[in-house]
Amino acid sequence: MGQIVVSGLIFGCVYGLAALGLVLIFRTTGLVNFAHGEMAMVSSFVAFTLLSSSEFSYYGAFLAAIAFSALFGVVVFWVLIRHVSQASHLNQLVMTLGVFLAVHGAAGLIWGHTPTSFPRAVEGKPFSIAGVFITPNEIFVLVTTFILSMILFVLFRYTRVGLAMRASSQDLIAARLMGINVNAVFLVTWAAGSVLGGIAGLLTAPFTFLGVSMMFNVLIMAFAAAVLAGFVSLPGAVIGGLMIGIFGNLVSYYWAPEMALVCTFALIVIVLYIRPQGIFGEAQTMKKV
Amino acid sequence: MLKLDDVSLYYGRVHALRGISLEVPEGRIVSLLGANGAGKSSTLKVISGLCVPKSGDVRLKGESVAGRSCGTLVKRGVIHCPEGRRVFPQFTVEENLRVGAYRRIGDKNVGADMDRVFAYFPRLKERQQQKAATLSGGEQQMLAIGRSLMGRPRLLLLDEPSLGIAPKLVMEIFEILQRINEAGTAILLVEQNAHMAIKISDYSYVLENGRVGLEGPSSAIRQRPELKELYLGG
Repeated sequence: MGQIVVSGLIFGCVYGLAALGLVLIFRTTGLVNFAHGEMAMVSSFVAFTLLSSSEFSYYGAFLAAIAFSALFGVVVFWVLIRHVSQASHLNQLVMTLGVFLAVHGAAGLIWGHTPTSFPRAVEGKPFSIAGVFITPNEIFVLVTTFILSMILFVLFRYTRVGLAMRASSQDLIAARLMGINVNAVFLVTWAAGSVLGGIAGLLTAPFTFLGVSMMFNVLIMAFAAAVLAGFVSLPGAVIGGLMIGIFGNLVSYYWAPEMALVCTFALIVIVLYIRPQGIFGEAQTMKKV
Repeated sequence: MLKLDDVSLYYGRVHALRGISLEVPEGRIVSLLGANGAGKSSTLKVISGLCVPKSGDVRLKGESVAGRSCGTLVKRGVIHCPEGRRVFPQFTVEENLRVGAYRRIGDKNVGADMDRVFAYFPRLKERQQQKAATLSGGEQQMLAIGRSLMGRPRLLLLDEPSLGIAPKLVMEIFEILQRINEAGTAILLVEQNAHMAIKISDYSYVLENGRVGLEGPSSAIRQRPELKELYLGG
């Protein structure tokens, strides 16, 4: 049982990071990025390509892939998403689904459809803590998630950029009237969101093998986590991710691995039915005056 | 300090402003009156940089600022307090005021200015840690004005500060506007409540269908028969 929970927690970290990117982008720009997972997959392939050229160390490739994620997010936003930022949700949905399909197809052409193995960040044999086995790489995943979450919370809550992001998420016109450069805020948000996704991809690849479809499950799990967070709460996204990770792993173990995704979907439906604002989200109310 | 010269503006194919010329002298209150859809709010949006005029010029202290970003104008002391207040509902009163000083990076007087806002509006001080969404309409208007003051306006563009607010609070807010003006801030005031606006302003413009239909010192405008329609309309 303890082992199941702990390995669920590791998956949960990845879901949490991916969800954090989703929620960050949704909160600030009001858009749900369905291409989040595919963009992350491309970043993982970029790291893989750099590693294969063998001029890069693992960490060099890792950092380069993160830089690529940020750039990719910025380009996708500026070239495509920006034009639908004031459009209806349906238009935005079609746009991000379009990016999803285009990126998926292009990645298949470039890197093929055969999954390959991807190195871990930290090699080493599993060791036992209080009867639960854990690998150094899993500890790396945990620590990375914790540090990234903390950095993001501090940025969001205590910095000038964070203030601009939070203001923009509430009222774009008013934010502009405060002198906030809303386009710059959106660019930073997309860069940050894509980096979080990209890191989730890099952490996922060693577990699932590197392939063009590797982020499907992660994206759905991240959506579930984001729903738990009401799509607005940043801490909720991480905690939601951890919960979903543990939940999925328990279902896999005690019922069947195929049922993990089904049950997670059922969980999304139930949460949306009972608490549409999410478990960690708060209902957005404006006193009508 | 501010001069609009033959400004025209389109929203798509709708011709919102058809050649507006007006002037706000340093330290004065100028009111902008007119029926709904006459172009009052659009005029403010052009001045603050929310909208880019199709033709004509906006001059601030002689320098053309037409089409500049809101951020540039905020830095130059042109602060737009928008229609419908638009306070940030999830921010506390204090956070709303802080974001009003967003452009003043590293400015040590921000704290003192916040105290000044609280001196104008003691109710805001009482509700400092409350979320803006929980404030009454009048308090939200006070917060919107206070937030604008945090940007250190040389020229304050105020859009319908009396809209949907209890008459007693309207009086209070207008008195404070006069005090803000006496402290050296020029005000361009858009109002449906023509009576109040004329009373506190030095000069008035009446807009009709995107043009200046009537203008003059407020004391003279008050006497004009055309204004009757405005009272009825407003």
